[in-house]
Amino acid sequence: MNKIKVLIINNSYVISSGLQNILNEIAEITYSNIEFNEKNLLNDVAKFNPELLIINELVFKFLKLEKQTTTNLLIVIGDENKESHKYFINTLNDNKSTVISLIRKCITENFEKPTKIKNESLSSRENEIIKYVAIGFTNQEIADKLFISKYTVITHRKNITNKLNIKTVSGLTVYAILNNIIDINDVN
Amino acid sequence: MIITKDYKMGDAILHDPKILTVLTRFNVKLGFGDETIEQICVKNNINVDFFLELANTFHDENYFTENKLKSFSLQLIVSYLINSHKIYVGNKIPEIEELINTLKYDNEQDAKNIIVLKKFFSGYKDELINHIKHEELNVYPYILELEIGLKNKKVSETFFERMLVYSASDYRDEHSDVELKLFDLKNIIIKYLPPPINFEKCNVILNKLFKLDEDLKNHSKLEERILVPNAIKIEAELKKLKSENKIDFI
Repeated sequence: MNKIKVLIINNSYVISSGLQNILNEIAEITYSNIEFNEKNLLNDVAKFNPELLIINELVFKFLKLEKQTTTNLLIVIGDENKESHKYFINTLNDNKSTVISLIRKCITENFEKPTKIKNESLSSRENEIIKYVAIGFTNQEIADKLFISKYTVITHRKNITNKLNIKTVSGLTVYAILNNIIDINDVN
Repeated sequence: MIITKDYKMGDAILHDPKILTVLTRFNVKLGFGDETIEQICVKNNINVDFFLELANTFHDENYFTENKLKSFSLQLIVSYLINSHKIYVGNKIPEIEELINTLKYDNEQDAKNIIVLKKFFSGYKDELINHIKHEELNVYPYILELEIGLKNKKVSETFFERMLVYSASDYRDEHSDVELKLFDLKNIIIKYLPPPINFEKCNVILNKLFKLDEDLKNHSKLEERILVPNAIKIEAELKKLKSENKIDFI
């Protein structure tokens, strides 16, 4: 499952580390943390390309003043909800469960639920490809053998790596032998 | 917690055993009594500040203070890195290898699992050793010569020419897929290896792999963020000195 990318823009170390502590408990997201820099703000945001921004009121006001609109979803943090933000964390009063349920609410209202657990087992075509990869064939050789294009082979290989989370060829060889896709004697 | 020189060595290790990892790199023996970090370092001829920076880096992954570490001589950093290599090759890898050798299955058919795992690990080992050899035979001597060259304002002409062709920045791009193999190995044991009869050994192996991985990450952090940037800086300074004719060729 792809995790939701969150970017915290905030200068207070105390608040940032507190937030990170809480975000660690939410499995669906991954986060980064940067300091607020007026000159580079939009560049920074573009670089991280987050789906959800957690910013303080200072940053929010800056964005409003500069008439900068980000398409990102916002959670604003502060000690008083003057602007009545849709998603707001009160740093003085909100307890842990309030903050977690706010973030969860924000996620469920805005992001699709992963439909069902993806089938991680390999398709028969992928099994065929992994067999040749494990034996040591090049992409071109596999393409020639199966009468498909080299790029199709590359796509299959990407999918195999994503499904199995094995990144090296020798790792794939081990997988293929453990699962009896190839015989240990097939590998020199 | 930030570890300081007045802290008692024994307490520091009780607080975070990772500091022990740093100590082994300096060949320090246990039995510290009540002596402070500073006292132990002085006794063992270790640069106290350097030790503290390393101990803190291992202790807290957010600690890494590049500016402070950059002020140490490259000689100091390189000798630390070489000591770490010795421990990888001499201790950590053989320990894991031995454990893999003890794995057992109760049927012939599954015995191939161990063979293939051993083979994979020995491939990993070879690659790691090659990487280390390359660093110790080519990269580190080059970097040390840079440092000496700048200090004495004197380099050999061949060295200078080589510097124009091979830069420390090339080395940064050379980091091979050693890391990926270790990642795969962990994943294979967690997800795909059928449990052997003595499956508890797998847990031990896995724990050691995680520790090795963390250790290697700290190691490459030192290389990529301290050693290489420093070397690149010296390269630039040498070139500048050359253009101003302030450097002697030997």
